[in-house]
Amino acid sequence: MAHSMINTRLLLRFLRTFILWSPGALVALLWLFPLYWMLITSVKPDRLILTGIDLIPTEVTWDHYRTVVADTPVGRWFTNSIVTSVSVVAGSLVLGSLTGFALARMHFPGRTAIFWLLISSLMIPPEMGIVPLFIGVLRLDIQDSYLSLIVPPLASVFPVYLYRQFFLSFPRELEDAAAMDGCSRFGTFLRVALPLAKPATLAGAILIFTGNWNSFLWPLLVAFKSEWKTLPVGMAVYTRLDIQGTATQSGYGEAMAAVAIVALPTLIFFLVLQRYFIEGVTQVGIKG
Amino acid sequence: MSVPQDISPMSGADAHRAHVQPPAREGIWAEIFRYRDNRVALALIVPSLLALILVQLYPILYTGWLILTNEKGVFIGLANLTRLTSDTIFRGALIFSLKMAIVVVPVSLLLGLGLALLIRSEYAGRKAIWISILIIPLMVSEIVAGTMWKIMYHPTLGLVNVPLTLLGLEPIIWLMKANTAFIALCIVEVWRISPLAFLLLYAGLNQVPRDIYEAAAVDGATRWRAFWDMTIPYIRPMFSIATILLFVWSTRTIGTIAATTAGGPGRATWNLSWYIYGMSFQRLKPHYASAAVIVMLLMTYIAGAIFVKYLWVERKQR
Repeated sequence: MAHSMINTRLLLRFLRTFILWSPGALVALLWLFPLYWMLITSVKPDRLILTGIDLIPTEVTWDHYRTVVADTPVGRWFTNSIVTSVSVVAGSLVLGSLTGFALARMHFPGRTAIFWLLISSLMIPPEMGIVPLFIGVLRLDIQDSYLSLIVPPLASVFPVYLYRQFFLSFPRELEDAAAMDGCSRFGTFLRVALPLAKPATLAGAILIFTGNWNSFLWPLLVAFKSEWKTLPVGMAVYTRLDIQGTATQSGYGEAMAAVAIVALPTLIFFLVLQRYFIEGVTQVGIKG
Repeated sequence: MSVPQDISPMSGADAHRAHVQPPAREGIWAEIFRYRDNRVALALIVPSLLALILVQLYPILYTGWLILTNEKGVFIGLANLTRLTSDTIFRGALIFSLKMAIVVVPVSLLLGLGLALLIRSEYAGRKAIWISILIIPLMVSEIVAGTMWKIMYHPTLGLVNVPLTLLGLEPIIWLMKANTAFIALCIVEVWRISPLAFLLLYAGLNQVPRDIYEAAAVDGATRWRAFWDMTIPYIRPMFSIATILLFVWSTRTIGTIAATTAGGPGRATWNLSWYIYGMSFQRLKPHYASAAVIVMLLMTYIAGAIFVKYLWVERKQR
């Protein structure tokens, strides 16, 4: 009798887990499905794309990728995107860590006021800046240059907030120990605080990198010549598709290949660093 | 569980200040500069402030000037704003943005909360994998998301219509009718935005100390009571931050609309961002568009204030 009780209990447990998990697994599948469909469509030959819906392609071709690479300066756009995103990540992390450290660990007049000034600027819509900045870029005649692509996104408050939250929980004993050993405040920041802030740095790097890689409106505006487009802006040519689906229009394979070329670098970057990202997000904890 | 910080105005490395005689009156700046710490702090903060002044403050002032003038640079007072009140296209875009937020924000929040609770529960092994899967949409750009979903909605190539055809119904041309296009865009936005809700709420749940649940269980509280009386109060501030961010994101999407409907059919899927972008850069009326920007700013601040007021209830200290 005891035996059967254990069995029912096990069965109930299993049922409960199953009931809880099947929606979870379903959501996870649906979540990734559009991405899967994008990749699958990008490697299907045109006639398979148009004739039917099969979840696993019976024939794989790289033609769409070849067409996209042959028709566009992909290499140049890729370089533009990489240079821009990496510079923005480096620059805004430097600015953010310096300011975040000062706001969290140092006492100076106006500290709270400056913090709230920075935080309130988080709510200003980006649309607000775009017209004046665009006019500014035209006046300075720096359209079609890395300067116009990199400088405006540098002034981001998010890394300041991220580092401040992280440095707030930095133990004072370490700071005092560093001071005893003759470290200046800046030395403490550089040699003690910053190395310990690695989770925050990596989480910030991932978010800022993907944010900039994917940004669309600003690079679209400042790139007049084709050679100064970033990857998403350049590839947008392929996304103008017929939405009625009446004709036997081709171009869907190319569109999906183009979109995959835009998406893959950030996805790979994220998957390589996801461990640190999750660690950073849960540790920094963004205090409530 | 608060982190010890900044309790005394002078502690640690600043303690030496206590022994310094107050300086003679020589102006506030001289006073500030007297201390090495202040000079260092200033040096650390000035680069960020300069960048913000250049990229945020200057545009705000410039926008203020744009609103009050017309294309010829003549001062016209509030005419741009009053003109906006009778602009039916603007009204349509504003209503569309709000409608979208009203649908997308609660759905994403509930979905995010449910998933966060599920991943946080003891049933979830290998949390890192689940978290990674769930936040992947955050890594994809609006254009990519839009193009991907456009194929999904395609009447013959897409999969959204497969269940309908299996049931013997006519496939829907989702993006060609105003109503279905709205639903379709809401689904894309939920897909794109709810990972943010999940991430923030998961981080919030991680702040809840586990031992309070054990204490509650000892006192005979049901799980439901524990959730309602302990978890919810703990994550409320995070919930309001998530609400504000989701509201901002969902009213402001432009890439997904550009890639799916391009504002169509007609002007049925114009939102505020789309309107502002078209007005500034296609119709070349940045002065008039700035008035719409101000309305958007006000809308965000009002919504933010409401969310903070009604959702952000700090835990009572015991």
